[in-house]
This record gives sequence, structure tokens and C-alpha cells, in this order.
Amino acid sequence: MVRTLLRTVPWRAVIGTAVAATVLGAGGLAFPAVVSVFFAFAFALLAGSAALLLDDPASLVVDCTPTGVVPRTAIRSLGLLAPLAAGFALVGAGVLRGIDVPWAAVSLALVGGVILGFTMACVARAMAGEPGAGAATAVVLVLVIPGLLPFVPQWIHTFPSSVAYAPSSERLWSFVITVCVLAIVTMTVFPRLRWVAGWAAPGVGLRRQTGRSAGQP
Amino acid sequence: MTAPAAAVRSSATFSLARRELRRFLINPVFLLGVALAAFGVLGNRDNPADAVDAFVWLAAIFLGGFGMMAAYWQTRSMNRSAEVVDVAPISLPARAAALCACAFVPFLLAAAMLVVAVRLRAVAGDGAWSSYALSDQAATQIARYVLPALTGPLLGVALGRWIRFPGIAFVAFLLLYGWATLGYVLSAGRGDALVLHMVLFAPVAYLLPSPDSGIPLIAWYGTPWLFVGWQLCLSTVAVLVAMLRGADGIVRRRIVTGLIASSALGLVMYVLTVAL
Repeated sequence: MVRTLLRTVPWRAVIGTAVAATVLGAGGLAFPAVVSVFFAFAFALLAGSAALLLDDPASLVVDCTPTGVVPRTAIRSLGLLAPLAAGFALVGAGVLRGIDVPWAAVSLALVGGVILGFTMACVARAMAGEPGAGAATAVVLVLVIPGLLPFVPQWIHTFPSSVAYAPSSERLWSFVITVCVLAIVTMTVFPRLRWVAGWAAPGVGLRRQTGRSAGQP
Repeated sequence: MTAPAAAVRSSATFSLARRELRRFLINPVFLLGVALAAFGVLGNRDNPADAVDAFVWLAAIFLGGFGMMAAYWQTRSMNRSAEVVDVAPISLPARAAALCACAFVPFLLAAAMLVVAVRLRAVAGDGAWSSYALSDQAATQIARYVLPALTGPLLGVALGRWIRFPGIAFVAFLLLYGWATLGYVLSAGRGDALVLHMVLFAPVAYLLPSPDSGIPLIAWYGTPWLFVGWQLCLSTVAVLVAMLRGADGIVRRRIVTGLIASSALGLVMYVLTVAL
């Protein structure tokens, strides 16, 4: 069953996004002056890659099979190894190049971003069979927007670009990871809550029938 | 084609463009971009000297970049309902043209942002720009503020027409943003040919850092009006690439001819921008 379920993961999209993230991260390693910007973008793409894991074009059929949500989500979560491996390869290369960034906090930001992407897909999966594109766009925007606005980077550090920002970033990501784990457990172990989430979203019935992704116009 | 048939098709395309425009205006990604751009403008209002340069990023990112993602979504959503839409008597190129009309919304908003920036610059004093002729100042500002907001959504439509990869919109957004950032950072340190081409190929030509920011003033490379021409050629190429999908017969031949002509003209513009 593991192999069968893993075969349904949209690997092209997941690996393609992870490769784009690796290219961006490699650009940061080649030009240390922009390493924090490029790594922040690369990690956002890796989070987007994780959000694509739960896409299932055959969801209308799969959702009716006796295979529960927990094993399906658990098996698909093995795909998280792809973005995490790409991210930790970038972190390892950064450490070897001797780039001055708080790598422990950066690693936590990587793990947090990837889990956040997966969680958003997990929640959106209750409403649509292919939530990946919407969830991935949402998580990328959530991770990138705070760094683009005036004043906001002073308060929120989604990527710890210097040692001074490391403690606040670690606090933020520890909190996010905790909330995400709780959300994943809630959405998978208590399937009744999936129906609540589905009921709360307008037009869910139509989306489920047509297979359209959540958030898509 | 008879004249009445042509009139009917033109009217249908116009109606479709109006409908696409309405859909684009309520697209959540685009609305988020507009809201964030407005927040950025308000946040920088009290510091006019820095605000003008900050506005360049706001227009390029939130109107051009977010507009690109919104246009991609809108194009893909139309592709998903192709079986139904194909029944309508409108060709695929005409549908692409209708989608491209949406790009005028961020274009006009960026123009409004340019007006605000010019007013703020007048308040802050114009030391950095005084070495430019008035005409060149206008061209530089149009190239920096307005045209990225036009080209971004057009690129989104072209991507949506040709690429099915679901993450392409945000991947393209971050790659282009990374490219512009790299060009900006490198141009502050060195001015060799590689950096020049990297900056001129970037989606936003951020070539004049504020002297107040501590970065040395870097003059605009080449001729500003020719650079505007190069950007307009890129926009035309994006429109034609979007329209090429599904075109056949004489329409396809015309689009391919236009594509070759606009690419060649763009290349000439680019060479002249650097050379003159």
C-alpha cells in the first residue's frame, strides 16, 4: 500500500519546486551578499513543495475507500523528505562555506516552513481533492510577505538573517511547529472535524464534485 | 471574413475582456497585492526621501509580481473549464487577448503610484535626479514604476497558457525577484558588463539607489527611452506567446510573424540601450 500511495504523489511538481529552491539557494551560496534573501526564498519554495504533496486527482474515488485518512496522510508525509533533504543540503553547503548565519535557527525555520506548508495542504484537503496549488501559493506568500513590507521585518523574523534575530525566529517557529502538529493531528485523527472545515467553506460541494482546488477562482 | 461576422467576433472578444477584467478585479491574490502596495505607500509616506525608491519595489512586487500570479490563476481556471468554453464561438487567441486586457488594471494603479512618488519627490528635493534631462527622467520613472506592473500580468497569462506545472507562478515570481535583488546588490559594488546585462535583463530596473541609503549613486546605463522600448517589446512578446496557443491557419502565421518582428525589434532596442 505504501508504494501504491507514494506513486500517487505529484512528484514532478514536488521535485520541480524543490529543484527551483535549490537553484535559488545555490545562487545565495555563490553570492554571500544576498544569501539571507535567497535562502529565505528557497525555504519558502520548499514549504510550497511540501504543500503540493497531498494533491490527489482521484480524490473522489480515494475518499470513499476504506483506507483511512491517517495512513494516507502518514504515507504521503514521507514525501516531506524531498524538500527537507534539499533544504538541509543547502544548510550543509552554507556551513561548509563558512557563511555567518545562525544555522541552528535557520534549520528550525526550514523545518517549520515545510511543516507549515504540509499543514496548510492538510487543512485544505478537507475541502478539495487537489489543494496543492492554492495551499502552496498561500504558504509562499505567508513566508515572503513579512520581509517585503516596511516596518514588518522589525517585528517578525520568518528567516533569521543574523544572530540578533535568532531568538525571536526560534520562538516564532517553535510556536508554529506546535500549532501545525496539533492541526495535522486534529484534521487526520478526528475526521468529523474535516466535515466541519468542509462545511465552513462556501462552495465546497461544488469543488468536491468538480475536483477544483481550494482558493481557485 | 464578412464585415458583420468580424463585428460579432470583435464584440464577443470585448464582452469577454470585460468579464475577465471583472474577475481579475476580485481575484484574492491581486486584491492582496493592491492592499499591500497601499500599506507600503502609507508606511513610507512620512519619509519622502526614501519613499520614492521604496515605491519602485512596491509597484514591481505587489502590482507586477502579484498581478502575474493572479493572471496565471485566472488563465489556468479558464483552461480547466475548456470543454465548456470551447463551445463558445470565440477562438483561443481571442480568449488570450481578453485575458491580457486585465494587465491594464495594475498598469493604471502603478501609474497612479508614480504620480504619488513624483509628488513626494517634489517634497523631498530632487538632488539625485537633477543630472537627468526632463524627458529622460520621465522615461526612467516609467521604466521603473509602470512597465513592470504591465509586463508581470502579461507574463502570467503566457505562463498559464503554456505551462501546467502548478507552482510555476510563485516559482517565477521568486526567481525574478531574486534576480532583481542580485542585480541591485552587485551593481552597488561593481559596474562590469556582466552586472550591466544582469541589471538590464531584470524585471525591474532599479538603477538609481538613493544617496541617502549610503550606497553610491549609480547612473542609468544606456538610453532610458530605448529601455522603455525594450520593455514594451517584451510585453508584446508575452501577449503574442499567450495568443499562439491554439492558433491555427492564417492567424498562427500572423502571430508568428509578429513574434519574430517584436523579438527582433526588442533585440535592436536592447543593443541600442547599451550602446548609445
